Amino acid sequence: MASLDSIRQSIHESDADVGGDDAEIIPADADVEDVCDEEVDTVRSLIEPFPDDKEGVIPALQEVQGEYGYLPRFSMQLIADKAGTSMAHVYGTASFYSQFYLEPRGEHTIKVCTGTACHVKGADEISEEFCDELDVELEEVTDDGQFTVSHVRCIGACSLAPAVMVGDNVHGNVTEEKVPDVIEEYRGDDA
Amino acid sequence: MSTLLQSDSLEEITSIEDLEALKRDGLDSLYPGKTKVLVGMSSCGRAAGADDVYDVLSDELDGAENAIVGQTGCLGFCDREPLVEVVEPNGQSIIYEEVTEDTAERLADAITRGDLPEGGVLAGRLHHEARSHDYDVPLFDEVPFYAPQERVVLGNSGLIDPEDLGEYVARDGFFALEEVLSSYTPEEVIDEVKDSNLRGRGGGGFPTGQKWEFLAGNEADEKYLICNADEGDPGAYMDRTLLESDPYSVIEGMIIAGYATGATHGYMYVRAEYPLAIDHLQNAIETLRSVGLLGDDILGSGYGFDLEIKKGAGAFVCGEETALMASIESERGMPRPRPPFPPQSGLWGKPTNINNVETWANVPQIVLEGADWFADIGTDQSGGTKVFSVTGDVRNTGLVEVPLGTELETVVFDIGGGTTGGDFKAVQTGGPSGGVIPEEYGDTPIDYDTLSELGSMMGSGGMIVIDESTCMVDQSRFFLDFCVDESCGKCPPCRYGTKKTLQILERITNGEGEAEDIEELRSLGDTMGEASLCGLGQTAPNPVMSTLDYFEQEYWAHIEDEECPAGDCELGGGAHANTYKILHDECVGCHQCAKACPVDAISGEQGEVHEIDPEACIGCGQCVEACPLDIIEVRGGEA
Repeated sequence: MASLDSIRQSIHESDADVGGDDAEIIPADADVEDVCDEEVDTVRSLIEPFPDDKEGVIPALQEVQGEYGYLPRFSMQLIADKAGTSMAHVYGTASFYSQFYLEPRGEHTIKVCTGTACHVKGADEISEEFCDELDVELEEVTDDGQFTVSHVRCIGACSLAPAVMVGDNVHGNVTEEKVPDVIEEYRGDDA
Repeated sequence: MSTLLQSDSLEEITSIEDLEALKRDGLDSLYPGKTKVLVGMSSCGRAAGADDVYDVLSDELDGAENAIVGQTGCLGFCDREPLVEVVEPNGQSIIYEEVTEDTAERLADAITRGDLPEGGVLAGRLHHEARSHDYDVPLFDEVPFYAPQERVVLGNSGLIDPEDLGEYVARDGFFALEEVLSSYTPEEVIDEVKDSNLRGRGGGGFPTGQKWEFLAGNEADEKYLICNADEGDPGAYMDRTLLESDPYSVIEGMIIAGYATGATHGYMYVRAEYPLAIDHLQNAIETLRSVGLLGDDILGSGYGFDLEIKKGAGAFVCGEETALMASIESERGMPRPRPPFPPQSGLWGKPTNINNVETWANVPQIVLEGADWFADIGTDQSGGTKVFSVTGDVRNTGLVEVPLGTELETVVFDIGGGTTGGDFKAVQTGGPSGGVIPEEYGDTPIDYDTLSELGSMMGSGGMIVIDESTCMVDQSRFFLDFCVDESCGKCPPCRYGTKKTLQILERITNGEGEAEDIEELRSLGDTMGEASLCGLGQTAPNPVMSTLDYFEQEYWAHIEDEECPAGDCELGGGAHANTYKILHDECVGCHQCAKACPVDAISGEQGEVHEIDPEACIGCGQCVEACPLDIIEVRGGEA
């Protein structure tokens, strides 16, 4: 897992890439004092339904990530306050699980399954093709802020290998030729 | 979803009479007296296009007087999705395979006309009270894929609407719970489960009844039950499918166990990557609360039980029970040493019992049909069936449920239809914790103990068929790569052991292996097995140890001859599928192949031996056609 500093640095780099859209992306390292009251209220209302103790941390993280696509620092501070625990505990939990992202993501994450069956059926080639087509490296955000290509562990669609998951949709039997079609299906859509 | 509003309209269920009334409604919904068109809409079906097929059928048959369109879960034959079953009013049905929007349109026309096409058919089935079939189609249990199967756990999958409580009750759902609450003592429930020989389906195979007895024997103000649906083994998806297709059976199993053990609260720990399963579970829980089958005083028994969903956050190690509990507590999902075992001190320090999805789903059937019936299905050591997800180099992929004790070959050849490309080489079971079973042990009856004796394990039920084009060293490397990523890092044997093992395997597949590596791999494996804290680390070396046991010569071929016999891995050409190689001894340097190559991946001057750059090769096969001497070999994959 990357250190906070390297994450910060990568955010600054990716901010620069995002260009005109960066006003909408909250930097990953923004503290509670750095963001406007509306953002704080948004996060507070998102995490409101969960228990006021440690039990509520993971569900709250999941909810915030559902809204922002990743976990800005200030949201983890708010979660820590509500759960009566430390920022270190919340960060430690978030960084343990592969589901959580500590830096901004594209609107759509294209998750290329690298489970056994997909591996055998050529997942590596599929993931390279997505990256080439979008002109990004793995885990990077495209210039227009729309896509991130990522690897995931088995998504359980082994009979359709190689498989790719975008949002809640599973695309099966993906070939290199089908890659542009999958991308077009989501381009311009809000996540 | 069509049934979203259902929970508002259902009456409270407080007695067996209420349950019987709902059963009648459910039967009307299952068999509505007109043609029913069922679209299989679990994740596999949807990924293959079932949503579009469903839309077409609904549009075309909208307002039709003689037909109604509904949705159901998984029929198991994932390879042939989308599957659509048309059930005629008399109970005979035809299941159509690989239905497209076009064929769906034609099917709708035919249904409106009142006759069914006999093309594109997977099988016919007899429902309800139907005894004979008018159409000239093979029947469900005559199709080779289904013939050796026995659907106990999957009995409702692909039949009922998973979001419709009535249809589950129509299949005798919750009658087991009613029977238990009205006429069993908790001890009698546990005895019944013990007599059934049900063992944990998550992989360990611990006797379920005994586990419940531990929990029942510990007094506490609160006890918990957990359903482990953190299905993380690559290649396994039976738990996802069960939750998507028949969520009520899992919940019913848990309530019965709650009564038997004195637990009053349950958690479903489900992978966040399974959104549809979570949806269906959530719907089921809300519906059950609204009719009073979850909550206080279930069916007037005085016993109360409630249930909530916890979404996992992506960590394979959380399949280990102590790590899973840490994750429910919103901690880092790291295991802790046992004892104390969960029945003594589990979730939040309270006595807890954890079972896997499939284990829970078996429980209602055991109560309904009796422990003896269940025990008779399996072997002397383990009762019942096991669901496997059969994938890999096999013709028919899908979810397969067979009695324990069925021979491996039956699954690979009779059900799976044999391998797709090369000869059958081995079966991998148990995912990253398991190992390979080579072809010569194909007649092994599948059971927890027989698989362990062969150095593999049952695992949660992934079964990956491997043909001769797969490199066993690379296969091990793949699993170790997985374990390195998923090792939580708490204990050194696993943290360093997996990493070190992976480095050696990478070296071997790159052609830089050394003779000492084999001994080193074995020694690392022994140490990790002995000294790791949890199951993940203890079993991480299994893929290596078992391939060393059965395919040691492949390791040596990589090390000494710098050759991959399977034509796979880095040494064999870099990609599994379609790797090409010019036979150097016979190449005359005619240069035809180089001219034909669209990506200039072939080097060599006229008159010299030519060479294909595997990195640049796209596997199009044009060189093979261009070669006048037929000396370009296709290695691995499908030609």
